[in-house]
Amino acid sequence: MCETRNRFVGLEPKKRVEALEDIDRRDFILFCTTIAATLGLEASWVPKIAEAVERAARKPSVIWMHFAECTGDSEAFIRSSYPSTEELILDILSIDYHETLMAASGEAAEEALRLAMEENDGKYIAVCEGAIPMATPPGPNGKPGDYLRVGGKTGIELAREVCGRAAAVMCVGNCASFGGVQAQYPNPTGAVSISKATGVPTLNISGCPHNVVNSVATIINFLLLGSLPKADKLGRPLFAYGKRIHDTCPRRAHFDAGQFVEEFGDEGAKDQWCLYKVGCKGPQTYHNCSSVEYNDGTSWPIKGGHGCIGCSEPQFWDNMSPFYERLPNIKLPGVEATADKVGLTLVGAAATGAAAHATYTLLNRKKFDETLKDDEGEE
Amino acid sequence: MTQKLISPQKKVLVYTRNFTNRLIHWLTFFSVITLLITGYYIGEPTAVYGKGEPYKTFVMADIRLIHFYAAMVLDITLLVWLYLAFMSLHNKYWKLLFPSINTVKGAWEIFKCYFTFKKPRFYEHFDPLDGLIFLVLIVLMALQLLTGFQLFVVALPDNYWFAKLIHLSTDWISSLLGGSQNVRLVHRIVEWILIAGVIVHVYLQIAKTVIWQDGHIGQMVGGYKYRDVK
Repeated sequence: MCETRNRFVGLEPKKRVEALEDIDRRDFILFCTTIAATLGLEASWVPKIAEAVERAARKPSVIWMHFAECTGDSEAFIRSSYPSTEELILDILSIDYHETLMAASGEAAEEALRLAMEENDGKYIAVCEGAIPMATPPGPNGKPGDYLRVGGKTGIELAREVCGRAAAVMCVGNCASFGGVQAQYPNPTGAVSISKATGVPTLNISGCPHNVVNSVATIINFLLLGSLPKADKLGRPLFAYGKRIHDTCPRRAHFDAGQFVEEFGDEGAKDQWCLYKVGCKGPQTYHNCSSVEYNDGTSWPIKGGHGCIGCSEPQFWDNMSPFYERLPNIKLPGVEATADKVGLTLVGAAATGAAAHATYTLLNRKKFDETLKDDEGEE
Repeated sequence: MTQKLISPQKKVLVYTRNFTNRLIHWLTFFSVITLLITGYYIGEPTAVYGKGEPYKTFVMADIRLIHFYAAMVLDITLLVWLYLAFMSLHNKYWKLLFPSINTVKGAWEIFKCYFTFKKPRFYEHFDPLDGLIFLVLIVLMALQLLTGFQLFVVALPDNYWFAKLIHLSTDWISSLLGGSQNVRLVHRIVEWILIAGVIVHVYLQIAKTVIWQDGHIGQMVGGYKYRDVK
């Protein structure tokens, strides 16, 4: 991988394109086919994808911004092999600015960002990773958004600047898309998603981390058709987030059969039964993990025997927890209980009430016999 | 009002429930019982498990199917009930849906009667206490309908007309409750409240029949109950 990358280091963009001709045609077509399959296109689209990618190789196009995040999405990104990372960085995407991957640092890096934005003003794709902290830190010098500063600028300023001049804004990972873990209760930094912070509509490749195949397929879609793919109401592209995990889950047959893992490590778990009872959130999570899988189709949580935690859904840390229970707990003042406990208490109270009244009636039977007699006596 | 004299001085039979009324009651009864049992299993699968290879056993799938059919029966019954509340020729019971201070006061009077055993005054269709309980049960069932559709629609293809209809009519409940997990939670808790509600409802009807000897519970079978002649 390093060797391939070294071939391009220090070359002018035009020379890089020449160097690209060395890349194996076979690998390139394999990549185009993968993308066509992910986008749900038929084989006749493969040449068109190849053409779009080759055309795009001549245009620097992507500015990758880091905000409040763990670089997990970049980590996922550099573990891609169809397409491989060097292909992605140099010939497919031409990533002009990426804080953790580029060689430049300090002022040179800022200059690179400025140049990239000016050269392709209004034409580049901004890829955002991480949420934007909006709160003001306590203390006399606190200003809104001070929890994140890159090169002297706050996250909000940077995001507005970069996203405002982009042709399209793509959020990778749950943090950029919906706020991620830092936006969960009590959210001390006031973190929000990119679209909330900047007001720019974004395409959200959610997930923790994002699946690189989906992100690349989205960009290819943009290169191919000049528009972003159709998205659901949360801004996630439908080709990847149109179906639930549950709909295409390899363990779905065991769900329908009524065969469930009761606890991790039991016989059911060894037979790969359904993880519904140990808190799998597949039935309410929209993602294509089960068909694309992570790390070059190596594996994904349910294949590894762990339930889905719903990482492509908004606020999943708060909403989907506890991760090993089907339902969230009910928070009553002072007590936290499961729905079934609360329910059983209610039903118990109703039954006790009925039984108590029945006993009361029986004990006071005489009294109501008299009442009935009184009624009769009146007539 | 049809009246039949059965014993010359004491009681007359009053026709209080027509066939539609009774049909609606029993459709609701059977669908709700089915829904409560299958719903409990779907939320927390216990006791019954598929045996053998999953290609020939469909325990969960069958139970879910029964749940969905029963839900459709209940939903249509509820809609018919709502229509008849305003349009019935027998008894327009729409006032039930809008309880007033007087209803609450009346319900309190009836509630006290259960402890003093004094016979409350005759109500032809239902007394205020029953009315309030019906309202609660109806609201709970409507809530189950809305949240249930939200849980059901995710399994349907998006461009299917029925899915579109469900999205159009019930998506607001999801945003109101804040996400799919809360919809599930509410669906589960309301199930428990409904079980408690059914216990209270059935017990009150039995108690009423036993204490005041007016054949109250029989009106859901035959349509008649007794009225004292003063």
